[in-house]
Amino acid sequence: MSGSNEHGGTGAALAPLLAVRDLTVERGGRIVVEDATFSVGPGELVAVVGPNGAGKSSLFSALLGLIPSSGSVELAGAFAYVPQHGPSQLSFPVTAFDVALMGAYRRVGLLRRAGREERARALQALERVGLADRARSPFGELSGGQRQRVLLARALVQQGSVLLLDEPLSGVDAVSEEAIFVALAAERSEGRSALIATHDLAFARGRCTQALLLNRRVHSSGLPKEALTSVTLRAAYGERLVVLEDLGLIDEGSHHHEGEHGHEHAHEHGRDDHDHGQHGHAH
Amino acid sequence: MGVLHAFSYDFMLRALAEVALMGVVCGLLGVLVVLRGLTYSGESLSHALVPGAAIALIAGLPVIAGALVGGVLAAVAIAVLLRRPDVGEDAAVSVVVTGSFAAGVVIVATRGTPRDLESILFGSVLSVDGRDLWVGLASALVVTAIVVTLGRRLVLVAFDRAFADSLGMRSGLLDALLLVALAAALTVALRGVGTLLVLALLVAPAAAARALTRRVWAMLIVAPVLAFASGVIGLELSYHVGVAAGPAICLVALGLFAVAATGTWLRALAGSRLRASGMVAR
Repeated sequence: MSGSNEHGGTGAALAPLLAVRDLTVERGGRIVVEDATFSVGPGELVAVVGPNGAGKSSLFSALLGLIPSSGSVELAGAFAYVPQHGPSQLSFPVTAFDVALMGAYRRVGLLRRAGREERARALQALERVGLADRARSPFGELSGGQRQRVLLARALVQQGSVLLLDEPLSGVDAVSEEAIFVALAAERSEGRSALIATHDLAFARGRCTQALLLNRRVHSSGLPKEALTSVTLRAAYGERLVVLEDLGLIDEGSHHHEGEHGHEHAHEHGRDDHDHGQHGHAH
Repeated sequence: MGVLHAFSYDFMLRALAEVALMGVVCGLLGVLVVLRGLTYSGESLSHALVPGAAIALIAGLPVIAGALVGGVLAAVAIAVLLRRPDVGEDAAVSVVVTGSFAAGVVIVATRGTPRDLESILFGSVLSVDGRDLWVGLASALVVTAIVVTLGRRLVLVAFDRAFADSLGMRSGLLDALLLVALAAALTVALRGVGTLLVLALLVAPAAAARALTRRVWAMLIVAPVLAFASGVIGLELSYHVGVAAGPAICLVALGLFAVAATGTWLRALAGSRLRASGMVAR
């Protein structure tokens, strides 16, 4: 990562796979990402951390070229993608294998059936996420964590150089989280890297090589333990945030409940630069 | 000759050709419409065929051609409105549809006969002529071509729109093409079952196929077969029992769906009983 991490980053010595400079994204007349600059080297796992509405999904959409943006994005290879909101209906008649194979769509094309090579690749990807034995299961009959792993397998089949994972750990149990981490580690050992949007600070601090703290602009970036401190997190989230150091959770939501006034003392510190109005809009 | 006796008449053979075309297009499109969650748009689009059909009727042009033009225009209008988040899917469709349906009924009621209106609303498969079949065949070819070339993309958009977009698919354009194909399919079915009943032939075979199969490609085979079978059985019933053909076809389609759904439900029930009693290892 550029900036704060020129001495310590695992990817800093190698040419970056992804170099983003001054990326600005406007949505509905509002700037949602402003002047984001960072780079990702081969084998890196980059946590993108920030409150809801901080622009994490917009950043990914802009990188994928789905929404207009200004600035420069240099990418060696291609992106693979796991969207934040997965398939709309669970009753859709597809198996885990069918879903994984969707990642080969671009190579297979319009009319041809996927060849033996692509089918082998889809099975291999399911194996990598630990679901080879569920290949023939209907997608809708899998657990939430397993479905997330199938969507990761689909992204692996895309064979991109940089994976963009939009909150793949939300609502996922420990077994699936571990399986996702193991699969990503295998990918990284082969020179690919991943950006993972997450609210899980323990994961970001303990398992990622880099962190990007985002709330419209990049508040801090670099080694996770340096980029995600209580000071930087408070700056990015505003005073509403209580960092539970031991658990590593960002406890943002509890402050929105009415009648829970434990956060009020935080305002005594007098930082007025965050928007008090957000408080009312949250629910 | 037994049951096939009915088809020794020319009008019955033309009716048979009509239900074959109708079965293929409604079966195929029904699967995509159900998977994409556009059933409501399908119903609405069928109502939107009415003004085009009415104008053609008054002008002495083929009813089916007028319906096709009206349907395609409505499909494009719905596709455009679907992209406006401030309007919303249901509201968008209602606006297009109710207006055009009312206009169509007014036109037929003032310039046509009650029989004309009945034929548009409930179909008249036994009076299908050669011209209807040619237009129907052309529409059927267009629909089949769209499903064969774009089917995989349409399914991917239906399953996971955000991922499809990330692959560079133009999901808005694909929605529009699906709606245009749907308009063509509904036009084919206009002479067969009419605009008020066509939804049954669109949705029931697809839903039955969904109950009977576990893969999209299997649905795409089973649904047209069921839709065609509904047509043939409906015609037989109409001929031998003397009931109106259009409603008979739709009732058979719904009956087949009921049988498929009940069968699947019973099988699931039996399966869970067996597993519960430890007779089947899983």
